[in-house]
Amino acid sequence: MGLSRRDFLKATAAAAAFAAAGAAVLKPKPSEAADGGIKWGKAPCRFCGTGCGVLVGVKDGKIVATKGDPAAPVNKGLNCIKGYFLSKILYGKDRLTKPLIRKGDKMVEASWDEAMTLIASKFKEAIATHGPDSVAMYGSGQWTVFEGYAASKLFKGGIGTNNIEVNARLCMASAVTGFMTTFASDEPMGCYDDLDLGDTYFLWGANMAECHPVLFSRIIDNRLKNPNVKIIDFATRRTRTSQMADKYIKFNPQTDLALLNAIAHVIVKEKLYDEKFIKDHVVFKKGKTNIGYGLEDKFKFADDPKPMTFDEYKEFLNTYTPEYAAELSGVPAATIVEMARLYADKNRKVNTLWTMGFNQHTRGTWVNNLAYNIHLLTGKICKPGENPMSLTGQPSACGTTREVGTFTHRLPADMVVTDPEHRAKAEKIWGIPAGTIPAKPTYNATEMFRALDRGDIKVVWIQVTNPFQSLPNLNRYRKGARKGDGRFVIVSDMYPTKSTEVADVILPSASWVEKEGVFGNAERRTQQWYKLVEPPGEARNDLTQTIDLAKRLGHGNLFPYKYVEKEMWEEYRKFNEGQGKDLAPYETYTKERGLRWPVVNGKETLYRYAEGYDSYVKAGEGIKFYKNKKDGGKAVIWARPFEPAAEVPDKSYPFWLCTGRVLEHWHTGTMTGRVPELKRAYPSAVCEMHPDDAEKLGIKNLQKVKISSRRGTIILPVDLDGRGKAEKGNIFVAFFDENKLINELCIDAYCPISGEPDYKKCAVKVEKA
Amino acid sequence: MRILLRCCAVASLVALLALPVVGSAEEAESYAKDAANAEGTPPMIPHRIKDTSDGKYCLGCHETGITGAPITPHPDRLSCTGCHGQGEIKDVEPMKKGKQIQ
Repeated sequence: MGLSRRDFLKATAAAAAFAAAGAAVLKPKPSEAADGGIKWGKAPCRFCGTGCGVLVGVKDGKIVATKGDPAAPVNKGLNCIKGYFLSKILYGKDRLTKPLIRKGDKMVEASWDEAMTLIASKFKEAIATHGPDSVAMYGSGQWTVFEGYAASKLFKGGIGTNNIEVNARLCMASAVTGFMTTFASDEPMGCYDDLDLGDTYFLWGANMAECHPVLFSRIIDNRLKNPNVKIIDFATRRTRTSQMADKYIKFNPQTDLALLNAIAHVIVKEKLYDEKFIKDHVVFKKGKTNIGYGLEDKFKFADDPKPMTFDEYKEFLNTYTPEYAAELSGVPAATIVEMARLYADKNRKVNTLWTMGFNQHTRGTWVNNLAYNIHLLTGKICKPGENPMSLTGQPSACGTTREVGTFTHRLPADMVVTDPEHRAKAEKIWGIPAGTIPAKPTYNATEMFRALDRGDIKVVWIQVTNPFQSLPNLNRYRKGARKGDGRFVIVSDMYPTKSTEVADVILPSASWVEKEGVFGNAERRTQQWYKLVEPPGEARNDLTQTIDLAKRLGHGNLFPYKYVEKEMWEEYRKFNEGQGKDLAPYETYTKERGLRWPVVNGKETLYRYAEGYDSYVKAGEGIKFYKNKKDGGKAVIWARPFEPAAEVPDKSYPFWLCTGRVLEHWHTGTMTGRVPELKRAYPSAVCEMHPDDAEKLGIKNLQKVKISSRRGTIILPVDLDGRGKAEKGNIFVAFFDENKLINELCIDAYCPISGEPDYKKCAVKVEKA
Repeated sequence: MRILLRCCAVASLVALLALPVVGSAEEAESYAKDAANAEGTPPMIPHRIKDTSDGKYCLGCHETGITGAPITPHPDRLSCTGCHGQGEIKDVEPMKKGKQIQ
C-alpha cells in the first residue's frame, strides 16, 4: 500500500491535535468490534448509484452499526451522511409487517395466502378478459439483480407481455440511449479511477457535492494533491458543487445543446481535434429533427439515422458560433471559446460528468450524444483519467434495470425484444417456447401510467419504488390509479408511501441486508451481499413475492431453483458471456468488494474498448468500439441541433422550475425521512429563488409563496440564501418531501428517443401565499 | 523521501491514534478486522452553520482548535458537510472568529 498525501496529513493532523494542549480531538470513535458479539458482513450502500462499500455490524439479530468499508475501492472507508445512518433505515416505527388488502377506505390486515390469492385472481381475470398487455410490473433501480431478473422472466417469458418498466426510465434512460446510439453498448468505458487520475472535470447539470458526495470527495482529494486539477461546473443553479468548483458557468435551461455544439464548433474551427483518432475510430451521423415531446398519449417516435461526412458535420456546426450559443445560453462567447480550448488542451486529461441535468431532458439522448462528440473529436476517451461518464442515482440502476434489461424494450446484455435473434436467445436460455416473448415494446414508464389512467392497463404491481410521488404531472396519475373500473394496484414496500396510499393491496417487503442480493453501480462494478438480518414481522423479499405469483399463474417452471440467487445468477450469466459484458461466477462476488465487468478469466476491466485493459480488443488495435459492428467498430459523432424545451416561461408562467435532490434525502425520502438525524438536518422542501426576483414580487426570505404551473399548485417557504442559489428567472424545489408534492407541477414531456421525462424544466408562476 | 514520509506517517498514526493501518484486500472475509480499522459515524454539528459553509469555513476553527473547537483528524477532507450534518443545536455557538477567517 502506497502512502497517500491523505495518510500523511492525517498523521500530522493527529500529531498536531495531541500537541495542542487543552483541545478536544474528534477522534474516530473506538471500534464497536471491540465490544464483542458484533458480527460483521459487507454490503453495498442502499442509496445512490455510487455503490459505496459498507461494513454492517449485527448483534442479536439487529443492525447496530454500519461503517464505510476501508477495503472498498469505491469509497475507501468513507461514506456520505446518508450512508452513515444506514443502520437506521430499516428500523422506522411504521415498517410494514403484514399484507394489507383494501376494504373500502380501509386497509385490512391479511395473510400472505389471502393477499397472493387475490393478486393472482386479478392477474388471471385481466389476462383472460383483456389479454396479457392489461397487466404490468413497475420496478426500480433499487431492485436487486435477482428481483429484476425474476420480474422480467415472468412478464416477458411467462405471461408474455413487455409491460415491464422501471423508475430508471425516469432517471437513466437517456444515458442508455446515449450510450447505445454512440457506442452500441450501454454503460461507461471509464471508471471511478478517472476521478483520481484526471486533471480536468467538466460537470454538466450535476450537483455532485450533494448527490454523489463520495465521488466528489475523490475529485476534491485529487485536486488537493494536484493543484493543476480544474473543476468546471456548468449548471443552471449555484450549488455546493459550484462553490467548490474552480469555475461556475451558469447557463439558461435547455441551452446545453447549443453550448456543446459551440464547443465542438470551436474545436473544429481551430483544428484542435485529433484527426487520426477521428479517421480511425469515428463515423458521423444525423437523425430526425423537430422530434416532439411525448406530451400526447401513445406518442411514438423512431429515429432515422443517416450517415454524413466530417465535412457535412462541420457544416452543421457552422450555425453554432460561440456568439450564437452565447445569445441562447447567456454564457459569454469568450468563455465558450476558453472552455473549448480547455477541453481540447493536449496536456490535459479531461472528464465529463453528468447526471439528471442531461438525462432528465426532452433532448436527453441528444445531449448525451453531444458530450460524447467532444470526447470523440479530441480522442480523450477510453484512456485512464480521460473519459465521459454518466453518474447514476440508484444502487442498481445499472446492475439491474440496464444490465438485466427490465425496460419494456430490453432483454439482458443490451438485447432488445424487437430483434428476433435476441428473443430467440432469451427464449433458449429461459427454456420457453419460441415466440413467447412479444416482439413489440409496449409502454415507457410515463405511458404505462397513462395506460392505467385510460384503463388500458388494469393490474399493475409496483415494487421498490414510489411512482405516485415521483412521476411528473402527478395529479393525473394519482387520480388515474383510483378510477376504479377494474383497475387494481399492488404496492410492495417497506414503509407506507404516497404509492401505498393508492394501493388495493400492500405487501410488506424485506429490504437491503434483510435479503441476499446483487447491485451493479455506475462504474460497472457488480457487488454481492448476503442476508444479515431477518426482515420484521411477515415482510418478504420481493423476489419471493414475484416467484409466488409466478407459481400461482402456472409459471413456476420458470424458477426451478434450489439456491435461488446462485442458480439464477449462473443462468443470467449466460446472456452476458462473450458479449463484452461477461460476469464472474456467483462465488467470486461473495468474496470480492465487487468487480467491474467484463470479467474475463477472473480479471475485471477498468477501461472498455482499450487494448491492454479490455480483453476483447486485439493486440495492435489500440482502441476499438467493437460493440458497434454495423459501423465497423467505430463510435458515432451525431449532429444534434438545439431545440427548445417542451414548455418555456412566458408572461403567465414566467419562471423555470427545476427539481432535484438534497444531500440528506434520497429519492422520495421514504427511507431517509425515517432517520431522525437526517430529517432534522433537512426537514422539509423549500423554494429556492433569486433575491432580485423575490424583491420584485415583494417576497421576503422564508415567507410562503404559492407556486403554480399549468398542472398543479403548491405552497412553500422561499429560501433566498440556502445552500443552493437559484439564478434569476429560475426556482428550484427538491422532490423528497411527501407533504409537498412538487411533481404535481412538473410536465410529463419526455425525450422521444429515451422516453425519459424532463423534471428540470417547466414554466411556473410564483405569488405571495 | 517517500519512504521516509511513509515511516513517519505510519509511525505517528500507530503511535498516536493506536490505529493499525488498513487491512489488505486479500483478507476479504475478515470484515471484523476491517470494521475495527474503520471510522465510526461522524459527529453531527452541534452548532448552527450557514447552509453554504465549506471546508475553509469549518477548518477556520476545527483545524487548529482555536476557541476550543474540537480538532478534526482529517483536515485533508474538505467536503465537511458531506458527512457532518446539521445536528441538534446545543449551547455551543461557533465563534465569530471562524466567520472572519472565511
